[in-house]
Amino acid sequence: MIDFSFAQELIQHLPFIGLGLFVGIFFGALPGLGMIVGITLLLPLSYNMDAAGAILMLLAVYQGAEYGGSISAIVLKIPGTAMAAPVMLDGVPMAESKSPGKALGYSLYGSTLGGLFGAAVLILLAEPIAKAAIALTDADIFLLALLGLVTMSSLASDDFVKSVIAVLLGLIAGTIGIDAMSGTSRLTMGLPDLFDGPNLVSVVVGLFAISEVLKMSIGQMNQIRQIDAKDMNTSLSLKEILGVWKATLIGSGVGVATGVLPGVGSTVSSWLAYAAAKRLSRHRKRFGTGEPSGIAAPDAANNSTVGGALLPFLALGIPGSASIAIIAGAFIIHGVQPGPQLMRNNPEFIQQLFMGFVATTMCMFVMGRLLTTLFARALTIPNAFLAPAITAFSLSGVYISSGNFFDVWLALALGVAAFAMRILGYPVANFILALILAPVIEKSFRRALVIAEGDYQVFISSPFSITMFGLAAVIMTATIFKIAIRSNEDGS
Amino acid sequence: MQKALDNLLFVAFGVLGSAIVVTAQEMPEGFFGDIGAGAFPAFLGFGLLTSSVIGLTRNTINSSSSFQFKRAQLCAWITMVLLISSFIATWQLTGRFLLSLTGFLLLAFTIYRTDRSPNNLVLNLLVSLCLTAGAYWLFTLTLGVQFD
Repeated sequence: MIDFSFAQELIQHLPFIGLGLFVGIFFGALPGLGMIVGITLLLPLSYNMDAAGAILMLLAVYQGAEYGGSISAIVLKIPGTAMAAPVMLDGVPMAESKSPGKALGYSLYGSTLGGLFGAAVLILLAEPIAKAAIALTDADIFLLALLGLVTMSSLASDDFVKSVIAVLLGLIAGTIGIDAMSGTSRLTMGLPDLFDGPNLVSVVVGLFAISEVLKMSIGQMNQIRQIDAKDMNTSLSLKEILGVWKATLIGSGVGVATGVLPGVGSTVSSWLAYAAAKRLSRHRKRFGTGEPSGIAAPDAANNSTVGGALLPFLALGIPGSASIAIIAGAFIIHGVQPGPQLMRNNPEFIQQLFMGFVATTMCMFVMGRLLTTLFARALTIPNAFLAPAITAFSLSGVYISSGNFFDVWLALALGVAAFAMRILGYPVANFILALILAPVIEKSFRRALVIAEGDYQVFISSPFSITMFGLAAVIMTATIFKIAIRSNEDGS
Repeated sequence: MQKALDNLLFVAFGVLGSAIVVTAQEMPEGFFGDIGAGAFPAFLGFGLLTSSVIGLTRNTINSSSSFQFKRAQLCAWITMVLLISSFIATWQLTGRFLLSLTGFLLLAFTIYRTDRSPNNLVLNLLVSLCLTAGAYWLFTLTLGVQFD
């Protein structure tokens, strides 16, 4: 007897996936907003859903925003997200010489095939990695999480000191509340509302949505962008699709590989994919003049990065980027602990996620084919409408998450603080990643020491921990050298 | 302006780091190899203090200003913070979410949309009402949240 309960659950989740994709493509297309604001807006809604539905909805935002960024890059000549910037190099010339729809077609096919490639790698590798990860000790997990933070601090900003401060602030925020090992109240200032730690939704909304709205308020609120939404047919012939198979494959491979690395993300992967596709192409000179491979490769990389980024998170429980850290928030809200134990103890849930992830990519293709013109027209909405709407919906979401006005005020206060930090060059993405990793880092560090009866050599006792330690040391040294070289150049 | 703001923030973070180190001293010590509840926050507080001192020193020696806040931008920013604060306060004090939401949206649209012709004012009102209806549909009818 064939079990169809699986398909039934997937069908139940389709409306959430559709909502996530719509929000993702919409916010990805709007320059300056991007996927994190989209994920932030939908995070509070996840309280009223089942775990798989909530997580798939947020993953759909992530997937959708990767494609959405290309819409404004091609139609408006302004990338909606940083990772869509390389798409402009060939997308804009093709839009001018052929049609915007043709360029968007290559972008959509590249994104879909990249997303499916990322999903395939995730499905094939997550379980073996999780099985191997069961052998990791607390000391190993501590060093792995620490390596993620060190990499993020080194790569996230030009200013290393500010990057480190953002990480430290996130870690400090993660220690607020009752200490699980001793029952002591820490850094709560006697406020009962902070005994469970700061409300995650409140923190995310403050850091990303409110600070973005405040940033919009000092810009051009009434600017109406002009678009030419003619010739938006995104269909491609089989010959055209096969013409970019090599670039798509290169982009997908680069995307997955960079997605796995903590702190690297889609922006780097899309540029690397563009460069790799150009280098390995027989028509190198055509790049920059509307070459289809120059659109398909970076877009495939963007979307395959999602599968790559999910790999260490699902298999090891360690998020490697701000977007995945916020999605980790949905796991925390539903009491699901990602990592090797999840794979072993809850295979049905993992299967739902995997199948849902594939369905998300397919739905993105359908939505892209049907609604690209609508999303392109949405680019004309001025910020004077968007900013108050984002504020109202995000703050309502904070209230839904806890029913407590303290958290709504906290979101506003954090938004003001995050705005100041952003204009001064502090990477707030580091803050959220550190906040999510703080309990993992502290708990594994303290538990490792308790097991080793206070012997600090436990952190360099296995080949794995020595490797992690070595990698962290190499990254730190390289960063310090980079700063020293730059200081010398500035001086001379 | 950036240098002054940078310095202000470094000092604020330095003070915060010191306060965390002091507070962490009062937390109970651990036993059987545990470092105790205060060790991790104390370490982080010390790290924050050290990073702030490094940042402040670097800023004093060498700093370049990359942005300037214009008076109009400052006014727009303060207006937005006040608007959001009054939305939350009205909602909290009256307990009327939908009414506060419509009021906030209408006021914000009217302030930030510089063209205040009668047609645009009507459009502002319509968009406010549509968004409020959308919020009611999403939060109350779909998710079952009772605000009032």
